[in-house]
Amino acid sequence: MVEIKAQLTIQYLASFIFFIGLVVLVYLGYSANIPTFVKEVEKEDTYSKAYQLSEILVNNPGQPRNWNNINVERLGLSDENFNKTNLISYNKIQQISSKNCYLNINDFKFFQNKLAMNRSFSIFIFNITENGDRKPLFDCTPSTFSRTTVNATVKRIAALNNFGKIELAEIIVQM
Amino acid sequence: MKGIMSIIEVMITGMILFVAFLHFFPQYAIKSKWDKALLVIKVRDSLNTIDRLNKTYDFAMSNDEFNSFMNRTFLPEKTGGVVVWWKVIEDNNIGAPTYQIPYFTEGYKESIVDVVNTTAGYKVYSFTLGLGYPY
Repeated sequence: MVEIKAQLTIQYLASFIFFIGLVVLVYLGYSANIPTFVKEVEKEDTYSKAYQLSEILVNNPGQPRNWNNINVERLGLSDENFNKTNLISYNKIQQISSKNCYLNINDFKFFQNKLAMNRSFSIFIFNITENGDRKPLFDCTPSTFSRTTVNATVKRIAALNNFGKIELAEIIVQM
Repeated sequence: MKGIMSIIEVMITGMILFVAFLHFFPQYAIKSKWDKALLVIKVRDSLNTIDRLNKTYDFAMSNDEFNSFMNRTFLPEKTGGVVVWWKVIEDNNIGAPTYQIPYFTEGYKESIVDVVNTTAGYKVYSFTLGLGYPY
């Protein structure tokens, strides 16, 4: 009879368990960071999109440049008569103020379509009064938009051309 | 002795594995610079807006008017954040009053050059607006 010795010693078993434990530890340590990493990257992307949207609204006249709510192809609130940065048109705000993003999802989809933005967002435009109060001029927040999950808020200051009278306005974009 | 050797081998292998993991999968760290970027945007927007409102000269000449504008624009109760501001008038041939620069932790400034027609002729000056997070 052939006797097989030392096939599975206690040292070998301990070494094997130690090795497997080390591999698992390294893997868990690495993989634990992945969700945080992905979340932070998404947040960066959201900030980028929110800034992009605010820039289109504040500094672009849209297409056509003197659009109205019938012929608008792309939204942009910049006053086309002056072609200056940080000068938005009250007339253009009036053109879209009849839309109600909260009650009518099609109105929100209209904005998504005209701003080429496929994610959910919220837009506020305020007139800043002499004492600093914010008088709402426009609000587009869909009912599905959750304020608790807002990742990025971009606030822009601009002058508002109210039919020749230049006032102060604030544009807030949230995503 | 054989058993001890295998433990030493495993420990060496483990160390090699650990170093290899760190080399091929480095630790990622996200450092967002959006706080700074948003401050830069605020400064540029404010300076452009002052110019659009045709208030550059008025704000250069009056600290009270400048403070009043900045107060209503960056009212902490309305904006949800606190910032401090200052202005510097360079090439001050218009006789603008000096402005005390506040303490701040991180700040950013932008300048605009303006021409004004005074009784003594055209004068050129630069208006620098700064915004920062308070100290």
